Amino acid sequence: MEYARPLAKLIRELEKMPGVGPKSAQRMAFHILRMPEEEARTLAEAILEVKERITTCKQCFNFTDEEVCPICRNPSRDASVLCVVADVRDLMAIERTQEYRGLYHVLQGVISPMDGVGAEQLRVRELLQRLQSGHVKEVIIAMNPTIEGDATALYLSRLIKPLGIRVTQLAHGMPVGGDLDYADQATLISALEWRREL
Amino acid sequence: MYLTHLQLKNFRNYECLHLEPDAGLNLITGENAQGKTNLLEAIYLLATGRPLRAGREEELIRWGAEDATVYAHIHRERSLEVQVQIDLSRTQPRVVRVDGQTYRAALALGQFNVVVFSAMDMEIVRGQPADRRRYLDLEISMLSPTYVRALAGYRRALEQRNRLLKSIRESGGAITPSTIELLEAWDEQLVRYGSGVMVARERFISALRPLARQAHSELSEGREELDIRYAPSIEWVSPEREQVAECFRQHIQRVREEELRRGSTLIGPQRDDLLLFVDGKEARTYASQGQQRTAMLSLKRAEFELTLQERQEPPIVLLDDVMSDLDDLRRTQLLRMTLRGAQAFITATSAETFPQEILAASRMYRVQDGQIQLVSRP
Repeated sequence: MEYARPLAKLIRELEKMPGVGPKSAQRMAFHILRMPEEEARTLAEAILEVKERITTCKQCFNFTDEEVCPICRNPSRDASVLCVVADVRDLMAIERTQEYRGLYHVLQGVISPMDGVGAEQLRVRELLQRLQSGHVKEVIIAMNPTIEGDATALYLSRLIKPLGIRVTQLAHGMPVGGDLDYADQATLISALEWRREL
Repeated sequence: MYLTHLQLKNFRNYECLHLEPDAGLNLITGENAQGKTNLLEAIYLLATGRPLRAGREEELIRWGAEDATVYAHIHRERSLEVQVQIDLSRTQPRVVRVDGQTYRAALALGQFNVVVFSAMDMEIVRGQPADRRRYLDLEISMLSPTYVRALAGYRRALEQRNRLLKSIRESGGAITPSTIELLEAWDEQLVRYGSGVMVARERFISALRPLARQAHSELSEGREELDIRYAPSIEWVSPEREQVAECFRQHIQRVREEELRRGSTLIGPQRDDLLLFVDGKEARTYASQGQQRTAMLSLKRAEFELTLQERQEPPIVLLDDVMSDLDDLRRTQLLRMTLRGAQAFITATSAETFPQEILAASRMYRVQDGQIQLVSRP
């Protein structure tokens, strides 16, 4: 026997979510089915609202429900430092440190010719336009230490350095509080490569 | 190093097997297609993470079964005993366990070393450059886990760069300054990983070379001379990482236009070859079958010696049905290697081809239809 059509439809939609397989989708659908109607409505509305209201900041491409995001609007942030990230999730990770006081630029991905992603698919042109203003003195590139992340960082540095702006990259190496003993070889090799003078 | 236990569950044609092999010679006889090679393959898989024969991983699982397990307990002189297990499944990615800890597959390499010799190895001498690169990659991976990463990184960078070159070509060759910057970013990735791969290959071949020459001289009783040479697609003066990287970088510049025109990467480790010469002539084309076989045997002997040097203990020797193809001298030479304290697993259709002294020193098994039976002990 198959599920009744509306239920089957919900399961199929949930299965499209990242990390959700048929079993989890089924569990979620049953959960939704048992929810009070009010709660289900709130969920449905939240989904619609996110689609209607969330856009990207026209400066940094962070998610926002206004034209310019609160980070870009905050006058106490240091506009001479720009941190380039691939994704809004990376921006949030750096924000959580509460240490970084500069601004951001969200590229919306990394360069990957295999996936058809080149500079035109990313917010590279917009980044260069922002840098033209002359306010920015340093660009910190914060990409994941993958082959694509490194290639994107290299590419950006080649574009930005000729503008006379300092380009830096997040260090790759030992996790803080980590044990040398437990570090995997790639991390250790990278930490050796990135060692610095004491 | 030697296996003290080998256990198979649903692996190839073995439903269930528990073997406690001899620390020295193990002779496995049986008719064709009974499961002799499968036994060697299980050991090979645990050492290298790869199957011995080409094919899909699923083919390692017994017909009708959903998953398979290969497990071995290894005694090592120079480090602690270790247990390696690989779980294969038709639906899940494989799981590698070392002493019960789960690892990503690449890191399981190198827990113990094997030197394998089967009829297919003749492809190293006779076959294409790709066969020899595969050989190099496997051998170096067993001795250096970091090589596995450099190689994986290189393959990825190469694939990305090829895709980029192809898309530039398909766009009608409109090359903007930004395209060049993009390509240069991928050049740098290619150089970073590629120079690591080439330096490792260069080092491995230079270490193998004197050992292979020595072995060949012994095997041919001084009548023939073997030489092996690394043939990379770029030239460098000294094999230092930075030097090699710089030469690679410069060479990429020189072939830039050609690469843009063809839409693919033209130089790098994917074009490497390992050249074998017998008496100054390239073995692939000019050596007789007998000479090729001796060259192959010398290479295997050299591998054995190199592992012994690096690991300070002999690797496990796997000889898959090669004894019958060899003459008495070469057979004795090959077995001499196994007699130097190494554990060996030797398969043959019958025990008749073996010298009496070997038979007397071996633990003998008979394989029939996925069942193994102990015939005699030394």
